[in-house]
Amino acid sequence: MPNVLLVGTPNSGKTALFNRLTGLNQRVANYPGITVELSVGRLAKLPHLDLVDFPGTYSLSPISEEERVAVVHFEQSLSDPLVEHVLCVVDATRLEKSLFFCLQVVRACRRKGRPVTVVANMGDVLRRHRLGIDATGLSKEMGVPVVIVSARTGEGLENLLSGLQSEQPNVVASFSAEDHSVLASEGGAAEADLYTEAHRLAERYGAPADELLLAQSRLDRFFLGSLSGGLIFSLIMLILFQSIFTWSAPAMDAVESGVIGLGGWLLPYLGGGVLRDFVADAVFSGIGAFLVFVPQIFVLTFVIGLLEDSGYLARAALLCHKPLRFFGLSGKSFIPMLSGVACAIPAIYAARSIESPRARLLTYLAIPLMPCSARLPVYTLLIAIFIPRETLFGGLVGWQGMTLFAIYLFGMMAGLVIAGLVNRFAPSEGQMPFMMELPAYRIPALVPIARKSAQRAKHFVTKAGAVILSVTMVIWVLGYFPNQGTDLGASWLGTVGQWMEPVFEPLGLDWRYGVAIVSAFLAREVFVGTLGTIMGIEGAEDNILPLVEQIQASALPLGSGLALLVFFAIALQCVSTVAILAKEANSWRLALRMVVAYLCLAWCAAWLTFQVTALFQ
Amino acid sequence: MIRVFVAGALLGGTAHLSHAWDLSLNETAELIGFADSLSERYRGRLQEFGFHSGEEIRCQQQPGFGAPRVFRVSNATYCLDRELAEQVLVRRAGGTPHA
Repeated sequence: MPNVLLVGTPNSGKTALFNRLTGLNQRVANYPGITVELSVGRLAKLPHLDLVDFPGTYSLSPISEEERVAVVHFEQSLSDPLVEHVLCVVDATRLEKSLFFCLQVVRACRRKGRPVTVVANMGDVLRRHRLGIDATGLSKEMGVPVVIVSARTGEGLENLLSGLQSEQPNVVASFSAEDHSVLASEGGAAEADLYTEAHRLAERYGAPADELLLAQSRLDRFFLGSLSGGLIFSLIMLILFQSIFTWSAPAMDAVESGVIGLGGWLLPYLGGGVLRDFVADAVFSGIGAFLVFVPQIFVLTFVIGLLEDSGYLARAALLCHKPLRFFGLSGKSFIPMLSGVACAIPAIYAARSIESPRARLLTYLAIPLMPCSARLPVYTLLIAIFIPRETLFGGLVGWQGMTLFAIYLFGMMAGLVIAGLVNRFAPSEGQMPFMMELPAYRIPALVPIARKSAQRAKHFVTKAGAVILSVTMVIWVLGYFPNQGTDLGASWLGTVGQWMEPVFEPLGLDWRYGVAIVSAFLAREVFVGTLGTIMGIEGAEDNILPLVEQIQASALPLGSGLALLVFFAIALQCVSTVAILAKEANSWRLALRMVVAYLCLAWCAAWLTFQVTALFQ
Repeated sequence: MIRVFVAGALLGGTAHLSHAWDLSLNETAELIGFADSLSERYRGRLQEFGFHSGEEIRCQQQPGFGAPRVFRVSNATYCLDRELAEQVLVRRAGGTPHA
């Protein structure tokens, strides 16, 4: 199918434009380097054309992996006869920076005879400040169409699409090499001329930047101040973790009530026997207990989305650089690591934007220890068992939230310490310096963030749901037969569990927890479902509260609960993460070594936790 | 403060230079080049950002605890860590040499 290439500098709003034009929902954030892979989507209003979104790059001379991906594919694509047009997105509020790359693109397109349109994005920001750029003058000078648009509001997109639709001449080929010698020439000398040309064009046709930067500077004074910066950062992180528990509680309660209500309505129709036992114990105990965590995933993703879109995350990366540097990481590691709090897979992809191979490797080591959303159901269950649901300050802060914050902090610190130790003892080729563009502050676009969060929650359900259903079915069959669930200890599951029990006995855990831990190697959240199924066979209901009460009644020692928390904080149990890690690091050896090392470390740390807790009891 | 010998057209001999990390908060200076020790890769990236000789550079923010500092160059803001900012050579306003 004929296609249109979408290229531009990082944080120029390219992916937001892609989403607007295709109706898709690629990840967007107000932070450089969010797009790390090529995305393809059909243009909603021109369905005969595909739009290909490239990762942002500052020039056609890449220095990071994400830029290399973009540049190599872009240059290959220009030779593809199916490529009908190139859209080069520039940030209309920071024209000079974007124009250097844009001039390179126009030159490359000219060589290959490809038509190109310059898309000056963020027109709404200019309009809000009563500023503008001279698109007509710029278009005349560059010899290519220049269209002002706003990917956020959609303004100007009709002009852009009508330009793509029209049988326009090859505007690049019609370029006058005489008049535009900079674009026509090649080599290092021309590069310097391109800077001069970009500067001249921005000065002549761009908007004055002072007014735009003034507001940003005022906010930076507050968010990056020596004292205020650190305090705000701590406060924002605290709110992030409190929101996961406290703010999502009403929705969690609603889901729980819904599951109970559905079970109460459905089960009487099933009568008795194996089918009823299966639906009650496997379906409602397994999947029901897991569905209750979906609101938390939504809230977590939503709050991170707000931080990204506002432009604050780039400031957070700046503030974190110095402490992260101590562990051999970079400020740029902060975003992948924070993304790892939602899911390790996009976090590993995001690490591509780290130029230093060493810092990237250390980030890979740290990411699996970030407390991802798959761990959340496990943490929530264990915290609900051992920590009272009391709140302070009118319900804004709760002990359960504080405990979650502590275990999250533990996971993060473990990641940092391991990265630091590897950095200290592994041979080093030196650190690479840190440089990053600071994006403008923006009011977050709530609807796209909510849509993205819903998509993430849906992905969590669909991805984990299939695995959980399979695992719970297997667990149920193993636990139900051969004695129709009358004696779990004598079931096939009991036999397997008792065979494994010596591994988990030193942690104060019986075979049931051992079975749940092993099943969690498919996906961590399966732990709760499996435990629900196992406890359900013994009479537990189909939601978290009875499961909590059942475990509390079984008098699981506090030391074992803490050991489980520590084990899950460290162990690398997610098969998908291991596969992506191997792909991105181009090393299965590294990925498998990490699995073994983190498992051994997790078991040892859990054992130590159990022993230390026993000293105080 | 550093003392750098720059051989070339930029300064035409020995000069006492300051670097971007030395700039005080809200101080503006003229960018005059890069230390020889800066790799081509980073020199190129800085140039792509707009760090060219003759450009104005302003120290916008100095977050505490050794965090990278924020500089405004052209119409955008960038943060550079100490290691890099010390390789960006500047002439402070008024042409006063600092040594």
